[in-house]
Amino acid sequence: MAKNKNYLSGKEIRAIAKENAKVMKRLEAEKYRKADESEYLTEMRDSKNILEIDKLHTYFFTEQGVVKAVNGVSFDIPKNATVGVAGESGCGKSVTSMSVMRLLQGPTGQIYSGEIRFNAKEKSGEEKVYDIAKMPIRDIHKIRGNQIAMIFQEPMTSLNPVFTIGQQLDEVTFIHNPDASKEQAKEKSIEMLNLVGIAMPERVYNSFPHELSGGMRQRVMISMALASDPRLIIADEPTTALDVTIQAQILDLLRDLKTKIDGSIMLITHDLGIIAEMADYVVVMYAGRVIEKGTVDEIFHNPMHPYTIGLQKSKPTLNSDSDTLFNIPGNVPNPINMPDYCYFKERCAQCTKKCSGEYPEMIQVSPTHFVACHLYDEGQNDD
Amino acid sequence: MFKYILKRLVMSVFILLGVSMIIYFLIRLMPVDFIQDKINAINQGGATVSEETVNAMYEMYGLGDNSFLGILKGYFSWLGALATFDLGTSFVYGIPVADVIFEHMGISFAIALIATVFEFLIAIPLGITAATHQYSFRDYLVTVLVMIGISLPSFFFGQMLKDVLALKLGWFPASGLVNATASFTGIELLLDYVRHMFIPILTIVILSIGARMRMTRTNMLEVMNSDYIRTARAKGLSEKVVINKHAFRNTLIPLVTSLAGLLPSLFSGAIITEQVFDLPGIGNIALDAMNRGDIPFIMGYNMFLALLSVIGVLLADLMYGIVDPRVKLE
Repeated sequence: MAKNKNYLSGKEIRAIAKENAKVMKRLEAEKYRKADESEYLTEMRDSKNILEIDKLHTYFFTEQGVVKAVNGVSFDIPKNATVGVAGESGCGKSVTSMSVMRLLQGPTGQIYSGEIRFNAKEKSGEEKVYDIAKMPIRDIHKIRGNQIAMIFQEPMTSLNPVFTIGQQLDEVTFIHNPDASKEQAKEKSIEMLNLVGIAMPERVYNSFPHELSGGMRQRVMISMALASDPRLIIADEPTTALDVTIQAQILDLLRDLKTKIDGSIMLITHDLGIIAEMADYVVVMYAGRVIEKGTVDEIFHNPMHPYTIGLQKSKPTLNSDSDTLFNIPGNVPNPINMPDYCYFKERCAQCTKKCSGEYPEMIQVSPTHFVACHLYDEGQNDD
Repeated sequence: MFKYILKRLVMSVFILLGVSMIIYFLIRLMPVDFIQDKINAINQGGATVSEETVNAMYEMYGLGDNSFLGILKGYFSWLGALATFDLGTSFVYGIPVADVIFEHMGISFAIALIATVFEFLIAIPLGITAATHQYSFRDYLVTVLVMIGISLPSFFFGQMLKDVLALKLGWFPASGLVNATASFTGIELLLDYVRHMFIPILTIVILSIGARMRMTRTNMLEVMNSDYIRTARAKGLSEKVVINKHAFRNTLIPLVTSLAGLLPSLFSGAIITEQVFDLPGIGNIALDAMNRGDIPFIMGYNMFLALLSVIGVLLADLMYGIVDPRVKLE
């Protein structure tokens, strides 16, 4: 990251390290504190939502400075909906999902501020709203793997190589039902393997991960996520490492499952095709911020932010005449010391004078469509 | 599996042949001469030894011909004796080499075994805490302490412990293996052994923890950053289960296999430590044999270690097959 451009003097490095240590110590102490449940109980803004992310800031305190990987992200995931989060590499999609799961690598990665409100359903059927960002890590088991499950990008390395599939699946059952017998756990695991369309589940149950193909492993990962009957599944690029035919199968599977488990899916991907096919709502992220969000129709038929428009143009299509693929010129800005103007300014063809001013606010264009761009400021004023 | 072991054992025979050849030729090229030393000792006593007797002695010990062919002949006669499980007779002690080895190996083995057990028991938990609390005060403290341990030379540190614990404080005897002035039996004798072996073992343990701890820490860190640990956490497992089950089971793979590789070092004796504490271990004896040109003993001792090394490597490979399901031995 900007090794040649931004040399830091020894003095600056020490100043950064000192400042980082102070903040990290405070955040780590907060993370490991003991807290009463009332401290992180909260209310949903809209009871139709299952997850509300509100002005989330997730920072990495590195030796070069603070990387604001997620810098004020807000979006909602409604009940029984699929929300696609799109954006290029390094825009903060995965860090957002890791923040929701509280899986950030400490002490460098920390949720700095913001709220992640989650509507949890207890076993008793009672609904409780937790602010995940304020939860101490010792209480995280109330939601992690239990209410929210996650499917990762790399099926090849996401399973523990020294335990059989069965051992790893049974574990999930035991977490949520410690009284279950071995036979019950096995029965449930086999049922889950059946659910994700694995032929010969008995055999896969006794296999080690290295004996399965990538597609099979991703199915196992999905069955693992399902074994706990989650209310929300976060799928972090679930098909990126798989070849195209398997991709389609896995996506079909996810779509089927959504109706079966009656939950929501947060689908993170850089593939707009997948989003168009799967999602009900789309959130477009750029350099740690949400720049546009709306329903799938709005984003695909009426994209407003120059970046969203550029993204769609850079999608390969079969029936275009051009030989070359469109690309957005330039690079994502250095995430350390972000400027206080639109982060897309340097790459934007439609820049106006106003763009040098402060970062654009979210503008509401329709009840569900929001965009953060100065181009639409005037339209707002005229109305 | 059986076929694999058999194949490896057949290969081992050739490896051992090569090793024996190299050791024998190196020894014969060493600038020590057992016969000359012996004659010098006799001469100092005032007696004179005739040229004829000297030559006869060289012939008797098989050291008469120092040409290439002569050395080759010596090697094959040693090899011929080995084929009948005869390691030869030690020049210095005048008894079969095998007897000398077994007489002194026990004490070295006891020290090495106890030290290794403590080394693993202390180093592994230290390595795991250092890894799970990376860059914390605890990590730095453990790392600095074990680094001091690695950096200290054993002759210096052993001497220091001896000075403080034995000479100044008088808690433990300074050297030797048994109290020569008392005649203990049974449990008292055992306690006496323990008191004598305490400082040597302490020295070895402190000096060897470092490497093992660093190895555990590195492995553990690598495992802790892997995707499957993230999966285990995402499943909702407690941090304790994640570390003690999912991470430790993977860290165990290199640790267990390195354990098998330790086999020869259990029997080889700690040369310097045994010197410092004047213990009649095999290391001490081997050094002495080296200085005095006791060819049959050096050959026997080194071949014994070579055999253990070959078995140790084979065991390590077999261990891989057991602890890592990805490894199939064919």
